[in-house]
Amino acid sequence: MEKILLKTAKLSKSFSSGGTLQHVLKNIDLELYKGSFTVIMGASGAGKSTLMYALSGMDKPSLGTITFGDKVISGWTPDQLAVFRRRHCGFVFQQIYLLESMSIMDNVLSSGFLINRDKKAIIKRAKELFQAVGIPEETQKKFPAQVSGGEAQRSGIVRALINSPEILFADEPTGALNSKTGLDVLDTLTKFNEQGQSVVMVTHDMRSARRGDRILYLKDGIILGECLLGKYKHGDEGRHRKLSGFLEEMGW
Amino acid sequence: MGKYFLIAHSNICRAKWQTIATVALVFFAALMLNLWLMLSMDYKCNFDRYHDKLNAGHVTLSVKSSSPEVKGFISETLRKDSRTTQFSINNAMDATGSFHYNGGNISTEFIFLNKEKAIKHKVERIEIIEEGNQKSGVYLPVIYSTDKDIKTGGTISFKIGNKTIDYTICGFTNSVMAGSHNCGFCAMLLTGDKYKELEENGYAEKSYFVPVRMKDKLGSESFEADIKDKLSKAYPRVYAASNSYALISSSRYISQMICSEVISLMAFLITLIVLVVISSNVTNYIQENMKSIGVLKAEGYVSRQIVSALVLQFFGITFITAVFGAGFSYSLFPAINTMMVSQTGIPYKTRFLPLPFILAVAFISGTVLFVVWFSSHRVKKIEPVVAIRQGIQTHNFKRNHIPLETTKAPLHMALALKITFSGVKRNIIICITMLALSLIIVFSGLMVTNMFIDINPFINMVVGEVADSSINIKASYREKFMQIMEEDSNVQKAYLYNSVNVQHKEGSVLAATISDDFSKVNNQDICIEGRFPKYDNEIAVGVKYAK
Repeated sequence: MEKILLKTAKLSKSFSSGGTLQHVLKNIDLELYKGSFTVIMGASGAGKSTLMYALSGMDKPSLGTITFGDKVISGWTPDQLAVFRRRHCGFVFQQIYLLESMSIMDNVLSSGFLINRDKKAIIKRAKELFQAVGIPEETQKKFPAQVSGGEAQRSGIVRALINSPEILFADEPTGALNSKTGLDVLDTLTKFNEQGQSVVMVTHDMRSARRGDRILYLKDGIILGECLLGKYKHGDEGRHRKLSGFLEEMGW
Repeated sequence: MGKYFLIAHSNICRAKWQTIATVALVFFAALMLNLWLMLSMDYKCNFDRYHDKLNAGHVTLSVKSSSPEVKGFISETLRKDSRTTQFSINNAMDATGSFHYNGGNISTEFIFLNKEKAIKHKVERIEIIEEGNQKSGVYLPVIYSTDKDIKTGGTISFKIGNKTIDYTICGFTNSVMAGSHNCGFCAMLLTGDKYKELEENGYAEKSYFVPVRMKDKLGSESFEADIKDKLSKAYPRVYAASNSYALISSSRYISQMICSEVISLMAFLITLIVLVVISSNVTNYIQENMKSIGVLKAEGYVSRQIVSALVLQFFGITFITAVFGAGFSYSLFPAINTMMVSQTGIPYKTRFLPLPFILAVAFISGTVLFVVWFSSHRVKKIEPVVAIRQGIQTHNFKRNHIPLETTKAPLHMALALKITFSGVKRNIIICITMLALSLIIVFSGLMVTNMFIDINPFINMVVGEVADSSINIKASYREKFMQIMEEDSNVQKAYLYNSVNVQHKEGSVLAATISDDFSKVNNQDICIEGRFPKYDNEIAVGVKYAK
């Protein structure tokens, strides 16, 4: 039985505007498993990013609970959630969001030094991760504006993984990249997932979604359906057909 | 700490010019603050330090008489008075005269003393602070050394009546109660041969120089009035000039106090500007770097850590700059000291003063720390996901101000108004900032105008009559004098008045100005209630004592 990392019960998120309540997420019951590559898909405005931010503690749910291990995190204070994120979560953003006035390496270390006082160990891990994603040492010293989009996003992945998080959240990681660069980033995520890293990715791109072993389709704030694809294998056409069929059923 | 330095360093690199501007402002603020603190905490004590060191009198008299009876009377009176602790009666030569100083003529009462005796006075010792190789001549109070034409080895001419005496300047002295023409009289030391020469040529009157020390220096004014009262009753024809600790300690430091207050005002104004600029910088930084703040929060930084990086950045820069600024103020102090010596006549040894230094650095650093912490409150409030979206709340339906669809305003104006209304809170802060800066600039302009360009309005607030020249004449010479003044085309107005001490009020001696016609007074505005006296039985009283 796969270990449950994160679980939600009747998770809801609403926004109030001029007296009207807008329900973005409605009573979502969800489980995320260790080592899985979960993809959350849906049309624009379905609530995908809102769901991901709620799961990661970046946004507070309006109703329902989120449990991580045996701890209910949905009622935690912002500082408690920040501590939770630094220890257990990593984030990869569509816009990458590297700090512009720090070098690539410093961007990673600013995250690494947060929980680990052993600077040498962190620097060593950073270099190993950079090597794993194919970023040479000269590039590590450059600033975000001096590197390509793909290098920047892969650096974002290194930053997300520096503290060995239990879950890596990726919000449209290839959204701002061209197709070849996007492919490199997807290959990186797949590689780490194969090594046991749990990944939750939000996307509306089919090519990206194929990397997941579990697809959740979100529509109007509810999980309309789930599709299990199994572990990703390159060139697996059957996977693509299965996914297409599922999405067609969902009304994609 | 490494993570804080990383973030602080990156923030500084991002805003280099803002950092440079902050550094410049903090530098000047610290410089001004330290100067002010040094002036107000230590410089003012300089008078008392020398007063104690030279065992100076709390009341000093110059009695124009060489009569042993007068001497005996003074000695007896002082001995019997329980307020007296110590006094000495020294032979001196007294003359009213003038000499050239700082481009003009100083007219004062000279007290010529024998140098060898004066430097050994038990009370009111006079200290030699600069001496050349000259063996014969005069030692002048150090206040006059600020004139570049008055130097050791040079010559100075004293005009006494219609006679001129030239002396070689042998050096300069420090006298607390008689060291400046602002003291009422001015002690000059003559070498033995010159003193004897003066005694023989009769240019000056023999007199007694009587410094008196008291148990309680706070009663110096009333003691001075009492002694003079008794002397004038016993010997009506004997003229005595005098001064007191209360008068001299405040009058010799008026300029220092004004300078100190002006510097303090500038220091606080610059500090206020620093705080407003830093607050604005912090607010702008947070707004412009909202995404980065969101990313840091996403990574797991708590608000306190992000604020700490900001605080470290500004506090670090401020602290280091303040230390340099306060330190640099010591290089300016000699110039200020020269100015002060020219006013007070008392030398001051510039040395490192830890307390003003620490207070200046601590005040600036502390206030910056507070302002940064206070201005960073938005970091604490904003959620990570909102921050990542540049502070824009999703599903937050704001009002669409000035819709382009329906507005009649030109496009650029409509866009400008849209932006103004959408960021109304921020714009209010900008308005308040500009208001504060405008107030500071206007106030500074007024200060510069009133203190440097045209000081008359400021003086007219506190002074009844400002004269280009002030002449003391004997009452018997009054009519002749006024005739001469009226015939002189250079004289615009001659205003005659008499001044006497009339009352002892709670230990204070009040001076009354008596005139035939107060309507001739230039500054009528000093009469704030009622009018000037017109008739013999009328009096206008200073508001402080009228209560």
